[in-house]
Amino acid sequence: MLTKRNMKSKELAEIIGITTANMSILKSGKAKAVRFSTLEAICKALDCQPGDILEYVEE
Amino acid sequence: MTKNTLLNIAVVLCEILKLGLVLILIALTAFFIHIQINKDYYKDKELQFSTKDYHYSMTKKWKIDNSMDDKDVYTIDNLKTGSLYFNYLKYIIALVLIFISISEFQKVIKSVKYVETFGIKNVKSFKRIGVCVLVYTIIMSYSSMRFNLGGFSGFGFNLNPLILALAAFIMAEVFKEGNSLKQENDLTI
Repeated sequence: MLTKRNMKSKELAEIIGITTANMSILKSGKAKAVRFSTLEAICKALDCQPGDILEYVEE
Repeated sequence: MTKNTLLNIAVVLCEILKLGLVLILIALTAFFIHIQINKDYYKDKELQFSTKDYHYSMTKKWKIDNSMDDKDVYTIDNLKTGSLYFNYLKYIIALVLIFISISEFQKVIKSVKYVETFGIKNVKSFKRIGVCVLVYTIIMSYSSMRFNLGGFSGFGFNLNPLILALAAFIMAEVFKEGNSLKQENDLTI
C-alpha cells in the first residue's frame, strides 16, 4: 500500500504520529495489537480500508 | 515530586544501612583478630545464650564438670579456635547476605524512580532477595559454641525472615506478570 501511494514508511510514521521504531514493529509483524486510533490514522493517511492493510495468515 | 522525595529517602536509607553493615563487618573482624591476639582481655566475659527470638528452638548446653559455675566455663577466652572460626564465618556470611538483599532492594527502588518498574531486572532482584533471606534463615538456624570445658548447640527457626523470603518470591511473580503486561503494552501500536 505504501508503494501504491508512493510513500516512505518514515513519512507515514510522521503523518500518523508514531515513532519509526514503532513503524518498524508494525511492518515486521511483531506488534501484539494495533489501537483503533492508529488504524484510523493509517487508513486516513493511505486513503484505504482496514482490510487493505490487514491480512489473516494461519499459523 | 513527593513520590521522588520518598524514593530518594529510601535510597539514602539503604545506603546508610549498607554503610552500617560494612562497619559491623569491620568491627566483627577486628573483634575476631583481637580475641586471638589477646585472649586474656576476654577472661571472665561470659557468653549468654538466648533463643527468645526463635519461634521454634531446640537447645543443648553441657559442661564436663557440672559442679563448675557457668562463669568459669562459657567465657570468650575458653572458646575453642574452631568454634571461633565457625561463628565468625557464620556471621560474616549472614552480613554479606543482608548486604546483597539491601543492594538488590535499592536497585528496585532506583528502577521505580526512573520509571522502569516492571523491568525483568526487578524480577531477578526479588528472586535474589528471596534466596538470600532463605539462606540467611538456614545459616542462622544453627548455633554451636564449643568451649574447653563445655559447649552449647542449638537449632531454632525464626519465622519472620521466612515470611520475608516468601513475600520476596511472591513479589518476583507479581513483577514477572507486570513485565509481560508491559511487553504487551510496548508492542501495542
